Amino acid sequence: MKNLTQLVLMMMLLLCVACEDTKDDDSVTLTVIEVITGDLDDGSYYYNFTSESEDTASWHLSLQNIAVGNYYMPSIVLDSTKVMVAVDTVNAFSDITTGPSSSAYSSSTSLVGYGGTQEILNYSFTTHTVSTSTSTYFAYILATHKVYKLYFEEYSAGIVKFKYAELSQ
Amino acid sequence: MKQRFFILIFAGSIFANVDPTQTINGTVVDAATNIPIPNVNVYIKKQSAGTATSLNGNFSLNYENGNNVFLTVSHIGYADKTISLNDNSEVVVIKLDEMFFEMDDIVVTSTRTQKLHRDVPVATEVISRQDIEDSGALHVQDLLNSYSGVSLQTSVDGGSMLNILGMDSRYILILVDGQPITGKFNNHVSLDQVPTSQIKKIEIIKGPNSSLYGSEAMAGAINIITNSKSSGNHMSFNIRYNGTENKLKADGINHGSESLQFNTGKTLGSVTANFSADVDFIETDKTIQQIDADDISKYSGTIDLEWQPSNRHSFRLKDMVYSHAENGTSSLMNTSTRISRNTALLNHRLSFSNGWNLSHTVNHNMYRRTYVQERPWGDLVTDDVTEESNMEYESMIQKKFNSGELNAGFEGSSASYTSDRVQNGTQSVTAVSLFGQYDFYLWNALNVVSGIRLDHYSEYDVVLSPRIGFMYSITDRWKARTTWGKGFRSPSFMERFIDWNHVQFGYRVLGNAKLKPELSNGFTAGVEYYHPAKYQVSVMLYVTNFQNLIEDYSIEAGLLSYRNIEQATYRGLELQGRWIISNTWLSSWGFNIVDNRDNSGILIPNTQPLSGYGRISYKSPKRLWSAALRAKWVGAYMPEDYNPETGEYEKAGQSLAASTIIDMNAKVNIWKQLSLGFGIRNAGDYTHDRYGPFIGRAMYIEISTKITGE
Repeated sequence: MKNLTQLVLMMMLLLCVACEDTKDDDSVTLTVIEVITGDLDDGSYYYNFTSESEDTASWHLSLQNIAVGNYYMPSIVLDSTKVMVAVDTVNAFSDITTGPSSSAYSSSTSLVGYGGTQEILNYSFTTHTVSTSTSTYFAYILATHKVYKLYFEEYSAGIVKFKYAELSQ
Repeated sequence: MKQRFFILIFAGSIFANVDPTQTINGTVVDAATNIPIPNVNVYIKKQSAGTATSLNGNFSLNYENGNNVFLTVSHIGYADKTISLNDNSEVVVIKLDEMFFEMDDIVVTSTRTQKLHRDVPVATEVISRQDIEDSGALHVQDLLNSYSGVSLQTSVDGGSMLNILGMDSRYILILVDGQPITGKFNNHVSLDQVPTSQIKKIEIIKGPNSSLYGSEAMAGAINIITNSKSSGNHMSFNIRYNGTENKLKADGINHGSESLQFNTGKTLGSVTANFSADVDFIETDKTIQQIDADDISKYSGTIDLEWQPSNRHSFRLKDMVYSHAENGTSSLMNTSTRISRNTALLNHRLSFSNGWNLSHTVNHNMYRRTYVQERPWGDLVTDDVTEESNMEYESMIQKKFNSGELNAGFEGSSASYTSDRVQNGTQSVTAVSLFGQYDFYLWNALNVVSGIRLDHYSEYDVVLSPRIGFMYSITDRWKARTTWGKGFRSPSFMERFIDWNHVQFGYRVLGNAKLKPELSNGFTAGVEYYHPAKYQVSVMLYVTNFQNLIEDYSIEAGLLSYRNIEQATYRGLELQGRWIISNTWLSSWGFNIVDNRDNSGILIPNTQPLSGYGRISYKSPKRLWSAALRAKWVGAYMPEDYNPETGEYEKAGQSLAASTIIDMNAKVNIWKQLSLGFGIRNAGDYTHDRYGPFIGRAMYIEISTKITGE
């Protein structure tokens, strides 16, 4: 049965390859950069999209523990002096090739931090877990006018894994 | 137990001075399978003559020949049968029809003595073996969660905690064969570590019962009674494949979960041996379960030996082992959890010729949990070890008098707790307890049970827990019951001695060694209508006041501890019913109204004010197939969320709509003792990503075989 299934699948695959559109692929190839932050236990983490590196002096994105009542909650902080932010709750990260219209951006970057309406890291006091948002975020860098799409894949015990790619204007 | 009851009744009569003029020899067999049934009571009521069948179902009985001589055959789980002996039959084969449900069960939990369910003065709920099989549940947690008034709450370790009548399960004492379970992670017992295949029945008593069981029986007690000698010679094997629909669609049929159960028991002369083994391999579905584990393996085994060298002595040696492994993998963290338990029990019962009975038990519990978090690139994040052990000696005496029944006992225990998270690494406590109870009839219709228990812990004051219960038989079928009692829960090792920095969220928790025991004071009142062959309907009102409840609080920013401060009142109404529609149809239902409030009148979090369940099951007359349908309904309620900024629980933005969970299962006997079962859990695929249930529609298929007899 398993062999039969494999045979059918292979035939379907051959059929698909045979019917493939041979025209030039005009899809956009984006360079996706994956980042694993430092551990919050060792202090806040700061990242610069332009230099594609950790940078405590000039940063666009930061992972910080912020005081909330008697606790400290992990939060993604964007530097509002350097970055504007937009959110796409519908499209998948991989399907997005262009940024949203300029009116979609907000200078109030706190909306992606802890407790914000579009918070990236959410602590559930029901399940006692920190989860990441399934939305794709856009960072517009004021100084360079570049747009980056960002997706936060995982949070685990003080470390965040995210990926981002520069979009065409 | 029922056999013993009848044997007792007729023991004297066997030796009565009856002039035997005729002997009847026969065999009693199961009508559906023709398998001989041992220990069946065979008697002629008018002549006070009786006996019991042997292991191969045979009996021989002398009786006085004459007209209108009727032989009655009676056995628990089967419908009584009466045949006429007027034809002077000398050899007969009597076929008994299995009863779908037995109303007249023996219960032990509410008085620590054996009593018929209908005669017990403290209201007791029984989940029978039939109920367990109808539920299709593999673990006690799943089983209990299908009843009204019970809900699940996700714990910090990702597992689930049980709430009963809105009460946190730490206030409900969990017993296995009358002995407490050691190993409560975060003060809670994980009932998903107790497989249902080894369980004969579960007895639940509600209200404070520390007068019998001591600490933790603040709001009730659940006694999980495992298979024992009465199981007779048997061997069974069960294999189940199950999976969630979501998981099966995403990952295919190769990623389901498997469960295997094996049970066997054999009686050789005065020795009965039972062995059980359970293995579960579970692939979790992280996208819906929110549990930080990918693969869970559970192994459990029980060896139970009973030896009755004479009518006066009996010994029981029982050892239960449990091993649990969870592995989780992600791109940022690999986790590994290992849990092991071992419970060893040695019991000796001695009957004296003057009617006194002595039972003493040595019980040793061991629990160990390791939790390792490691980054995929090798950095070790957490390596926690928790060990708990408890050694207990218990001695009880019991005697029946003309006026009533007395039982009294002594318990001594020594417990230790080792963890990286407690001060000095290891803490220990010793306790001694004395208890006594007298169960008597004040008048013919008024049964009274009164008891008191004294617990003395090495590090704080004596706790006295009295209880008194009344049962008034209005008629043979109507009974009214009321109880009043006190309960307590001694502070846990973690609450007293924890010293732990939660690095991730930036706070420290310090235990409070001066904590006092939490106290409860509760009252129940109810009425029951009982028809031995048809109906059982009961309604019970309960009110329990809690004092000195332990809560966590903030000493200063980033530093938490525990204190005795909270008061609360839990009250509610519980309706339950069973209806044996026929020998093939059975139904049961329950409905709960819960109103749990703190001393400010604010509803306690996790309270589900209205819930109900219903079940209907069918078993074909020849037992060729059976099916069951269960539904549990939870009324709309306003959940509460913890707000870290205020440190208080606050009402969620909107109420949670009413929901219904439907389970169904069926079993078909495909060949002799071989059956095929299948079922659907949560057939309506109801989930809620914040408050649960997190597991949607799931299905299983299983093959099982059971061989009984010699």
